Amino acid sequence: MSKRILVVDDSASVRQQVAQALAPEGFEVVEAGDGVAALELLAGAPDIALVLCDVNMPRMNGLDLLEKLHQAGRTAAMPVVMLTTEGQPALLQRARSAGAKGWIVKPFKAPLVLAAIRKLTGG
Amino acid sequence: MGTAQTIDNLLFASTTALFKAYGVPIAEIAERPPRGAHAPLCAVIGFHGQILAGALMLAADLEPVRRTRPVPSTSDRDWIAELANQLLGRVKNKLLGHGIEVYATTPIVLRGERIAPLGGTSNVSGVLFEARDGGRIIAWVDYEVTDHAQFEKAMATEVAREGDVVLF
Repeated sequence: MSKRILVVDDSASVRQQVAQALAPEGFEVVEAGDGVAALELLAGAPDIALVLCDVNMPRMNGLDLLEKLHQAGRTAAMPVVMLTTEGQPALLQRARSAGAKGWIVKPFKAPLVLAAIRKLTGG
Repeated sequence: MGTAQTIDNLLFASTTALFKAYGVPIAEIAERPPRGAHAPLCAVIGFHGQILAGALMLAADLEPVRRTRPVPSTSDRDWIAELANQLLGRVKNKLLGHGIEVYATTPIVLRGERIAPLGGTSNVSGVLFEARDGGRIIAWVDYEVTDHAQFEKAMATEVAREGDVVLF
């Protein structure tokens, strides 16, 4: 059974770009346009293997989403990797402290993203 | 190097590198986009920080924007917004090398024509590019600096670069 990756980004282009990179490698990509939509989706889809999440988004940004996920019991252990144009050390530190497993700077290189996802999902 | 020259250079280098990363080489054809330059698709994104704030605009013909799209099915509006986001990301990460931290808003997209920066005004940097395979691109930043001395003091902050993957 393919592992499900939740991609949270307000850019449909980025979500589709990630899906295009992951689908041929056997991952199923589920999409959400912001943090609020991601939480709604996760409430009804518990079998997400990893969340790939932008930082700057409307309604709820990625760091707030990360903190909410890791405060909630059911999603506390869910691996989250940030996918963003941001590179500020303060933001990386906030993500790390909140339990993020990684930080990828756009534009991303698909093979590196795949390698990181495989490592964090155990295949 | 003064503030204006620093921002001019950042804008030029970041725009060139962004389009190159998506396989669309571009070359500068004017330091300041002339009045009446045609660029029907525009994305604007704001930024703010303690000593620097403003807005960045990326405007372009449709063709060079479409040639950069990694996924052809996505809309022109969505993709130019993401390009502006990534352009500001490159500028922001380079600014960190000067000890300047700024935070971005989410982008908005406008369609128009004959858009150009205000002439003869300080605190406006703009560059007009032409893609090698045709089509024009305008990048400009309209900004305010509250502390020029601090701005110009370079700092060697280590930052994550485009394409980097950092696992914690």
